[in-house]
Amino acid sequence: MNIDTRLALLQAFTHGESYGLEIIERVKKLTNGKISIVQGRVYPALRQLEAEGLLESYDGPPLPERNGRPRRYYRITAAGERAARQDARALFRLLKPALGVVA
Amino acid sequence: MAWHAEPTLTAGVVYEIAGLRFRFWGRILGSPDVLLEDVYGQVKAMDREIFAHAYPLLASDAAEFFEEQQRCHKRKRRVQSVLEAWTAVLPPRILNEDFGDWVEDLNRRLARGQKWLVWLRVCACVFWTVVNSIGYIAGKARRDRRAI
Repeated sequence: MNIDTRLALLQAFTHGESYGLEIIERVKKLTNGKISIVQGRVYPALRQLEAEGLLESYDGPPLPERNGRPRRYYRITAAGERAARQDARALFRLLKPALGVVA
Repeated sequence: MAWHAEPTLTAGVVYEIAGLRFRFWGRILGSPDVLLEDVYGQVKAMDREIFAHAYPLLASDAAEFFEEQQRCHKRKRRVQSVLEAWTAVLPPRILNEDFGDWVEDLNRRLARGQKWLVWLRVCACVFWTVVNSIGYIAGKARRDRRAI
């Protein structure tokens, strides 16, 4: 998983729980279309974040629009929120000169 | 009303003026005839003249709409038969999560009437579910070996 996918996913999950297809749309919307995650690559990234303890997941009810399969919902954990805040702070420090923010 | 005499009165304008919900009814009712009869029954008496005037347009539009619906159904059946054959070899986690999302996305696209793009997405679905299944199985085997 590259750094911008990880960063984008964690920041997107701070807005609430979601599932693969929806989180792709959320990332696109939050970044004004600047970051677009390929559908096939989002699932390994989500599973990796789950394995690292930054996300947790559960199965929703089976849905007819998925031919009776459940959606796998993910939500951010406390460790995930901490990591998201740290990432945001690091990114902010990096972008501060470009944003014209005086320390 | 002045627009009665409009020579270029379209079916779309008639739907709007008579407050019809053509597409909504089309989904509930089974054929163009039943649809048009039902629409006629719900049109106010004063608007029936307009309806009669636009009937040929409505009839051809309804027929076209139902043909497109039938084509959509056929396409959906074909896509689903290709995909369902594929599900036998996928691990359950990939089947519910990755594959389920692909199916949901494909169903949305089919409902929007997309054609070639749907088949491209089917190919992408097969490709990515294979890649992710290999990654998932390898990762699981690695974790299991570490646990031993």
